[in-house]
Amino acid sequence: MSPVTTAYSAGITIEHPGLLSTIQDRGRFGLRHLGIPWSGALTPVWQRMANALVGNPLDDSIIECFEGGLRFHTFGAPIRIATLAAADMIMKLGTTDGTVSLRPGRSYTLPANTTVSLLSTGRFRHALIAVQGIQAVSQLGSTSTYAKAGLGGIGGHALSVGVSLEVSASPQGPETQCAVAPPMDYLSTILRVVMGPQDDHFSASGQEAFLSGDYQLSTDVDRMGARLTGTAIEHRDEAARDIVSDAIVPGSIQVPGNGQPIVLLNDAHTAGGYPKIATVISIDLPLLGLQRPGSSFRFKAMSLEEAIDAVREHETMVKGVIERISPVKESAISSESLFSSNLIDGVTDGFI
Amino acid sequence: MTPPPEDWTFRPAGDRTLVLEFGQIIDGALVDQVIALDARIRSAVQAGEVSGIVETTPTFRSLAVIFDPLMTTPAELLEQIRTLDYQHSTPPDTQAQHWTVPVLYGGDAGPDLASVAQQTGLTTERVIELHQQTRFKVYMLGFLPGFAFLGDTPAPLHLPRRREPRLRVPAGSVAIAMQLTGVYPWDSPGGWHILGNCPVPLFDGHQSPPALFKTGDTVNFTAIEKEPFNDIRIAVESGAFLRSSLTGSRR
Repeated sequence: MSPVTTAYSAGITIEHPGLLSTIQDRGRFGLRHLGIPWSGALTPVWQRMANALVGNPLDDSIIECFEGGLRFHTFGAPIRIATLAAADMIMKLGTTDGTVSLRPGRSYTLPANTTVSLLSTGRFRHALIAVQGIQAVSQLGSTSTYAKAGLGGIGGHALSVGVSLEVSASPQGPETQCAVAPPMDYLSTILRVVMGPQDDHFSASGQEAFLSGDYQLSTDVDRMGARLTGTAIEHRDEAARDIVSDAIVPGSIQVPGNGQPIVLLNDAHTAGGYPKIATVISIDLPLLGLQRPGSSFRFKAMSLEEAIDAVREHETMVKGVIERISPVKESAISSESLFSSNLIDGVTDGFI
Repeated sequence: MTPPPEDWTFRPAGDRTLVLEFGQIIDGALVDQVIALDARIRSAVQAGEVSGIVETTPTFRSLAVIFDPLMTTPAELLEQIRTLDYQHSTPPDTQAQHWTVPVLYGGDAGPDLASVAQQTGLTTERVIELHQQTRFKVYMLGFLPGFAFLGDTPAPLHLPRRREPRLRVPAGSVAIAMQLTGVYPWDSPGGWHILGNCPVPLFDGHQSPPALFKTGDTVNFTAIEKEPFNDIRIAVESGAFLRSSLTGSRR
């Protein structure tokens, strides 16, 4: 791991990291057998779209930030950024009183010494920011931050005050925007699941409760997992409350003795001893990282074949959205007239 | 030639994981089957015999096969895995290593040694002796990065978990519960009985592989006194400690 060196000296410096801001890429694959989770962006579709907007490889590193509060400034030379977040996010140039707003789903070229403040992530809990040519150090095959084992990110940690991220080159190509909204309803109240691997550890009424009840997202939700509360899911019997440790993947729904489901996410441990009634399908998992505590969900069972079909159909839609990213005719930031006017031109109003 | 019928049952775990379950108990024989199938699948992936597999996760009694649903289907993958004869193959690259790991038993390093002796009706010397005499096998890694579940702890030392789990078990702790011994790579909460502490890091994110042990490796613990324990600690901190000093002959 040699330090990143780049001939082009420009980038961003964190002035305030907000609640939790981390570097994430697609994830650290191939090490689950050593107890190392994938990590990676909780909303991979946004990650790919944000990278596409700035012309990065789709799997490149992004900054994932929870709630408002992230503030950074650009240094050295112009850089290109794009943010994916709820349509009602608030991001401004300057500090809180900035007059120029940036919107999600569009890339911007920012001059050096520009301050950017993410004041609110809007109706969703996190936002992703891509930076063209971002330089991040890969560790064990990924830049994703997994602070528990000190892996990835900046020295194994989340972003903190004063940390700088450099870019590899000056902004290339025109600014771009999404022509259509992302293909995913992230306000859905349905979490699609495939039953198993230990659905037989639950009574018939326990399984029925799981598939018919409303489950609220508790405040206990982070990158490891989300606890939900609702009608208790009854185990088959006392002995069925524990299993000999078995693999966990993001999406696994563990049900401990209290009958309340826990959906495991990207940073969860790789094995565990609670029975897992079902698994949330991969394309529905972002809902748990995006929606706010108190949001209500229902679990809907589908067959494994239906799940594979849904994932493939979803991928086709994502590719379609990325292909339809198009250049913006006039640069928003360098055009002085726009500094004093409203940047929102309606092209992607209603975005998400 | 038709391969023998498999010893596992398929259980789905979402749109990208197949769980191949060999049993539902902790048993060295099940672990051996899991390791054999895992090794065979890894070699098949390397040889291009199967496609679409992202990675595998072996546990005490099952093998999770994680795949890319855009590249393959569960039906296709299961069919390919069923043709692999794993019972008669040991790929050279997955050979187990044997480790001899120093442990400072008792005192501050092993706060539960006395209570384990009391609960089992043995002397503390006998507890250490039994633990030291055992050639453990790494049954699986998980719970925390690099956390190794080793078995079997000798029967006279079998105890349920502590009634009061600790909020902080220090990194390096060697602890027992049921038929297992665990070594904590990180400070973490834990409910096992701590017999001692191992000064050697079990996980180092700057090495490849980062975890000291892998599933299937064998381990002996050897008692050391406070002074050599501190010497090893100092060597680790200065970067002078080499993992290779712990490896013995291959199994």
